[in-house]
Amino acid sequence: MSKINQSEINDVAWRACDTFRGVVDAENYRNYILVMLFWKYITDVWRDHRDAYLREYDGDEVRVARRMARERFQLPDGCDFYSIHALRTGTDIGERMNVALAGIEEANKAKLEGVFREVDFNSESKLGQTRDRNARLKLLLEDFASPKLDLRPSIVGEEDVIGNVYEYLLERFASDAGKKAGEFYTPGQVSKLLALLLAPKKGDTICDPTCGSGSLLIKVGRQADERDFALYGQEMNGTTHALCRMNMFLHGMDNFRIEWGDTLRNPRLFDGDHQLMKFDIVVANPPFSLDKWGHDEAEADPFHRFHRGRPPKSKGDWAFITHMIETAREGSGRVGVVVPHGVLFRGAAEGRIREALIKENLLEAVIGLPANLFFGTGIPAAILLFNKGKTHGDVLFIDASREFKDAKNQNVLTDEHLTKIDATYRAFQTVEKYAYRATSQELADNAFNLNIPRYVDTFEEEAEIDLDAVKREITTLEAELAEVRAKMQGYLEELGV
Amino acid sequence: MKTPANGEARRLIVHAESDTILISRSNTPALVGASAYVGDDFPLSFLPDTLWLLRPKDRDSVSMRWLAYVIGSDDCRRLLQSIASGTSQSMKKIQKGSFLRLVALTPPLTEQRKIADILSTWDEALERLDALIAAKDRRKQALMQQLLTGKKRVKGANGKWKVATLGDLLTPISRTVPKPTGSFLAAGIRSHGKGVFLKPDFKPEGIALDELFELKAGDLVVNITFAWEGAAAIVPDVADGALVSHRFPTFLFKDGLASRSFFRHYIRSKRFVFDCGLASPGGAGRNRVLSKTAFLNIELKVPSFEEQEQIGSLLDTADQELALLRRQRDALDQQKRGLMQRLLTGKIRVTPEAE
Repeated sequence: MSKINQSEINDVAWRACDTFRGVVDAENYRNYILVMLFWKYITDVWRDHRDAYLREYDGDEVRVARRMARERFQLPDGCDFYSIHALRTGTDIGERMNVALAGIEEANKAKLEGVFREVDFNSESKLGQTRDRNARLKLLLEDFASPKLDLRPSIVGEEDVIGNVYEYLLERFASDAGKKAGEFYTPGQVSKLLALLLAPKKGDTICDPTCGSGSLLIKVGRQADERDFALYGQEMNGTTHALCRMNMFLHGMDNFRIEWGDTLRNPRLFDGDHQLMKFDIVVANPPFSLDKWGHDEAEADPFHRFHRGRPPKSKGDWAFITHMIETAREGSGRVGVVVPHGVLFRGAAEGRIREALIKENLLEAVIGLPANLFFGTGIPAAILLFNKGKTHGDVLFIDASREFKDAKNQNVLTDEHLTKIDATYRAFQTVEKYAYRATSQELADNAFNLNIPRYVDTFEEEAEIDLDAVKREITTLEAELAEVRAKMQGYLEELGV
Repeated sequence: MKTPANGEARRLIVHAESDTILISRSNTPALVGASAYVGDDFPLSFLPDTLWLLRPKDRDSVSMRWLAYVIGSDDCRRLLQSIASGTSQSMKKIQKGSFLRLVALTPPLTEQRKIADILSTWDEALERLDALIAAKDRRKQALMQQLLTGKKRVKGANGKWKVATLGDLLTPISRTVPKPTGSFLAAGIRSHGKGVFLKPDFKPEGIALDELFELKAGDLVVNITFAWEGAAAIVPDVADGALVSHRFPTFLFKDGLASRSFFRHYIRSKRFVFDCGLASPGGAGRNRVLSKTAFLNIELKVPSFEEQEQIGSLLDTADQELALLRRQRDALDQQKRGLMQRLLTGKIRVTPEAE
């Protein structure tokens, strides 16, 4: 069997979307496709393991069943992809798919409860009237039955291939549907940069309070040397929350807890005493300048998170940052957050919160990123790093906005760019035209304004023109010109004009 | 660059030897028929099929240098444009037959050569003058670099340069006027420090604003949406009273603190444009808006008012010299055209030097 090719799988999965294109919104069919992929994957894993045990126990079904009962997940009889694929010409195929998925959820309550809640294969409003719907579902089942989409671990190899298809689809949907479906998606390289900068240690707890489909959490988790860490997340959108859990599962992240709900109005990650949990690392790419984030509720916040000041009604940036800082472990917790530039310099309430945080010596670094890195928006973003275990009073500013690669629609940070940013952060020293280590006094002198150009002067002087050389050139030219002019004068006299 | 397939390369090579003429036989209506004299030898040139290479049938009866002037003369260019055919408005073609049927008034070879000698003297002068203009322009840039930063001081100046904000040197002023009911004089600003342009007879229906703002000669005016690209200017006399929108804030120079002629040059410096860029947050492509507060907070080092004036007038003089040289160049070009009209038509005959 030939080694499976990542981009080939990606293509097959992306082409399966053709069945829906033009009929169903990207936002809707995204979930169907991702659920199908998930379903196909767990079926293939199950089948693969079962075949291996069958060989091992010479077809002893009883022993095989006993072994299969100890798998990471359970796939009840008749709920697997192929059983339903065999029924694809039936008139009630949508209903049967729903039942099969419900069976899977039921058998894996702890990990998968509710993950398929948002997809209804029998939905007339989403998939069309019965005849159309049945035809469409038949195509869909056939697309996923393609031998190219054989996702058995013995064929695919490492588990990440499937996680990568999933990421690939999420990213494609994000860029395809523009802002609408992409508002939740952080570009891979930005996640990777945060993972590098935050460098989780063995045993760390990592939380993303606006985790979306979980790609940022997974990237940070992967950065941990060993598989000894715990991922926590909260996501407000129910569909995305389900996607996130499937994503965790597909990436082999078993130690995760993803809650559903609005982090600002209704934080759900508590410890035993109904106190907000504290994490070693809190990382997020919260929605930029969210309107109606919960300004009014914040006044009486039961967790007293907004004691430094209440962010403005129409811009939730500092509300998310505040939440992140409040849930970072005292004395050692670290926070990495992606923010729009306004966060660095806007005044009023935001200015007061910024000032308070800086005076508490929590801010560690400000990193300016290139414009046009994100799906659906061209605005340049910055990364803020906070550290509750800071041992000095300085803040490092890095202006990484001018180094990127031009890609089709987006600018891209390459691994070299990430390494440079990370190395600069580790060195924590001023680098001409790139980074500046500012003292707390300098921040105060700048009225706690964090606008990067105030600290990192990227002005490139023009090459100095050599005045002496120009002078010599002018002298020569003028002499030559005088000679030619004399000749011209001669001709003019000769011609009598 | 295109790389021809093996073997094809030989076929494509045209030896553009010296003393031939290249002519564009297929081009836009404005450029069709344009030509150039080939003075040097180019043994390995690749000519596109939109160019013809003209070689003389008989070098003893025609001077190619003379012919190049004939073909390049205003009259002949017009003629070539008129015989170029083609229905496309962007591409015209000259037919070989009609080109070869053209008639030229032809003096004896010795006179052809003398005419070419005379005219090429003017070409030589133009070439030198162009180089001189370029060199003087560079010198002006160098002076700007040094004088506007204090690296080089004007004679006798020794006072310390002080850090000031634009707010210390400028006073914002807005002269609100209701939108006129009839046509009016509107103004805009070119990017890269290229000054104010006027839009006479501007129709009020074109704008949705209720009020506009009046410019006065000597104001500093900035276009807040293109300040990052150097859209700032000092209002010239001709634009006095012209109207602009709220996107064009105006400023007065504070008496005795800021010299207009110094700033005429300072606003074209790379540093000023860079600072305006920093004061223009945003950054989604070209969509950046200057913050007026940040603009007035821009810091710069300035000398005393007197030294500013001296620097300004020195740079003004350099600009005037450049303007004069450019006019001189135009005059020389006119003179050459005048000579061509007479020499190529036989209105003035020349006496060939004795061989």
